[in-house]
Amino acid sequence: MIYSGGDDILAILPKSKTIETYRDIISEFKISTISGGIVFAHYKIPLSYVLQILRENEKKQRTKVKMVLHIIYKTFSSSGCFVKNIYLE
Amino acid sequence: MCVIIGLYWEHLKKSLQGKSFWDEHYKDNKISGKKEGEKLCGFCFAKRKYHGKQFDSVAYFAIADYCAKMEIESLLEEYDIQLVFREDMEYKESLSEIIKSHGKPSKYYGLIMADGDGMGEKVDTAFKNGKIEDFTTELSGYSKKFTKITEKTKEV
Repeated sequence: MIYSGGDDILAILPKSKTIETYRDIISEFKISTISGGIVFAHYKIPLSYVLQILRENEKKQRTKVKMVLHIIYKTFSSSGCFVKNIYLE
Repeated sequence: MCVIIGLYWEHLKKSLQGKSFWDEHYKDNKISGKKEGEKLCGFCFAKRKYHGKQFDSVAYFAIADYCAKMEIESLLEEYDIQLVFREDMEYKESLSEIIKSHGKPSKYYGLIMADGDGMGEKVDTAFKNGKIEDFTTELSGYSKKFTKITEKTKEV
């Protein structure tokens, strides 16, 4: 746990325990519903960058809809895909 | 190279490369209590050991459950955990055997951020009804509960 201020939580966990812990947290909280974000990140990515991604996405999705969980998987190498030019139109 | 900020400090003393540079660096700066294989510059070492407390690296969280499962937690105290991810495991034969039989540990960790919905309105209502103290006491109770939930993940 990095901080826990009542309804406001930031925690770092092993990958295999993250979803399970998030589920426990939302089921425990009875005052209101909870929305949040999870980032699975490679250990070599700077933590400040991972936090920035997490905060930006959590903020973005909160304005749209409540009671949701936004999940991002951030790999060490950049990921992308190839699209043939003919499919661009 | 410092494992946190990724800057090459070895260029300061060109005659010393790799391990010998870091051994000399820790000796010169009278830095003690470092783990084996830990390559941290002065700034990052101070952050890791701020006010005598140990602040673990994110690599520690990626591997913590694997180490607990395999009963090799002592590695976390003894070695810089990034060594466990290296391909050449010569420094620890027993570890290479574990990896052969159980696979490599995950290089990923999870970061959770969660926030209650519509808490501003609930605080306003509690103020109006004169129940803000009860409300904050209830919230701090949840803080403790959530800390317990995350602590539980340390168990196998």
